[in-house]
Amino acid sequence: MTAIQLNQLTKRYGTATAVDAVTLSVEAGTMTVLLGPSGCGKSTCLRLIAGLEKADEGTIAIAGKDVTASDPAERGIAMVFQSYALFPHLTVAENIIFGLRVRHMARADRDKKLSEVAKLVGLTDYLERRPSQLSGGQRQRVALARAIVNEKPVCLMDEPLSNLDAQLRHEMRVEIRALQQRLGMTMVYVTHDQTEAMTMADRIVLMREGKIEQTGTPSDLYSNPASAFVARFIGAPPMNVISSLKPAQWRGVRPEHVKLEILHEVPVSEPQLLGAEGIVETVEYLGADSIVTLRAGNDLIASRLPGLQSFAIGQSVSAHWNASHEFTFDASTKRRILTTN
Amino acid sequence: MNALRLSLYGWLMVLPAAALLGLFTHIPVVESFVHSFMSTDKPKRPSRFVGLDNYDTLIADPIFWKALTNNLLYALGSVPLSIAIAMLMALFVNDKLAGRGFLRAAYFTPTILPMIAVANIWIFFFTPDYGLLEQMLKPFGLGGYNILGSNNTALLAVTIVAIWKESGFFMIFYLAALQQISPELKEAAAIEGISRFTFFRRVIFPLLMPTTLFVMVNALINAFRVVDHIFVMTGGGPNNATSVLLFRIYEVGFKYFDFGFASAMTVVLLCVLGVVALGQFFALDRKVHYQ
Repeated sequence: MTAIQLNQLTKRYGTATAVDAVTLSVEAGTMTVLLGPSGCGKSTCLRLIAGLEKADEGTIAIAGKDVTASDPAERGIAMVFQSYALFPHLTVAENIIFGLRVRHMARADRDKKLSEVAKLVGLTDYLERRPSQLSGGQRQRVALARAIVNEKPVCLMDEPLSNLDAQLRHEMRVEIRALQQRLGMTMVYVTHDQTEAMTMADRIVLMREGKIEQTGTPSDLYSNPASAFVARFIGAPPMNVISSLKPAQWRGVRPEHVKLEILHEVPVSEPQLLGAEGIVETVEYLGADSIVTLRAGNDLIASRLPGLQSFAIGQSVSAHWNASHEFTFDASTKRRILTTN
Repeated sequence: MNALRLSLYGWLMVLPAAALLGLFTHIPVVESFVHSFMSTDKPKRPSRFVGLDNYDTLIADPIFWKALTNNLLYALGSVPLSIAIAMLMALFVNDKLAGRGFLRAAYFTPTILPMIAVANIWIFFFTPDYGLLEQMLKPFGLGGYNILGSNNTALLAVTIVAIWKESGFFMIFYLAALQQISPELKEAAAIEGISRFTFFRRVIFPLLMPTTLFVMVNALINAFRVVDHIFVMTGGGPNNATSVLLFRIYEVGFKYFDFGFASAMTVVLLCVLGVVALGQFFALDRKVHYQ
């Protein structure tokens, strides 16, 4: 079942087009991540769905109903903001039930819901505190609790983890995903962090300059990128894109597929098929593996190798990879060229 | 040794400000207190201790009571209204609207005008027969009132001038406070379906409370302190209808040269102000959320 349907959605600010004819359907009960670099229109897209911005063109339907012109409150959505948007003068409990209270829900029902939700997000012991007395992660949980207490079918999240430290971000990622699956919520989640997108999403919508670049499951986007942009945006370190073989075609290969060998002669700078020769420029040790980057002519080629590697900076090396791991992209359109093999 | 030098350094730093404050604020306060128990110095009878005589005179003086009542009415009228108007103006010019900068400047203009100039402008507004107010009322067959010259309306008129003068200044504080409030709060409320009014009552108003407390203390103190326009507009008249405490003190002290009596009234005024400020802080502090 389709929970959210965007059709040719467009939003302009002056002469700039923030969201450019986006068409997208979101399945009920799934987690869809809008991913992209800053300024790609992903947050604007979410705000259009929420009704916080008005679309210039196109339509938005939620649960089969056209809501393009509706107020945010009529759309059946909840939202978690980047800065959490908690009311600083209210306690955690008051923040969570704020909406229920102004809609005059009976006190007993309110309290029941509050205790359920508080238990769900682990805030039971903090209900009487104010937001200023909470840590970043706890504030995030309050925002989450406020979003789910209303039991709206759709939950929108605008970079909810960007203000947390790395450790907490990892914990919250797992928790939000578990909560979404447990409650069967339809969630649209905006982030610029490809790790968040890869680990949480049922489906990733990768955006660039207001347009959708590619839509698919995380593994689709990783192993079947539609363009050089997708290939480089997904995966860390990004895919190597080598431009110096044929001017019209770029070659792409992921660092984990690049093997290195020590070269006992001067490297040739001419491009080779399924390989390159060059000089080691950087070596980053990450524990489980190391990233060795070599310079071959104008191109930098990274290789992910297991454990601690003995390559030294300035050493001559040759890189090579299998034909099955190589992607080709059109140098002018940057789109993938599908080869039949 | 080092600690001593450091503290000496600190004392030297605060010395200029402390000296000025002491010279023009603290010493006069103490002097007034002392003088309020002394008779006024006269050529043949030097000042001497008279105990509570001056306070007895004060209690028996109907003009003192009239001035105190007037002052309370003046404060009660000007403080809540100027605060409410300031808050409304700030809410209005905080929204995105065309000509916002111009409006903000316009609202603030009365603050930069000297009170004496303001008083003269308003005298023209209130003048019988050809004043601005009269000109506006004439077409409706109304008018012919001497607003500043009548017992019933003179105090109201000087109160209106104070409100006009103060609101723009307090608006600046509210505007600054409003800009500290994250716009995401409004969006979160919109998603919850909370009306503009409920949002104001439940979120904006409580978040403005620290500003309201600050503004209220200042407005109340000003209601006893800034009375320059009364000198220009009514001279305390007619029949002491616009005489307030500070005006009465000036009259007794510097027109009749009864320093003892004036000092006693000054002490009363200071006590009133002290009680007002302390009361506000203790009563309201618990209700105010500081971020």
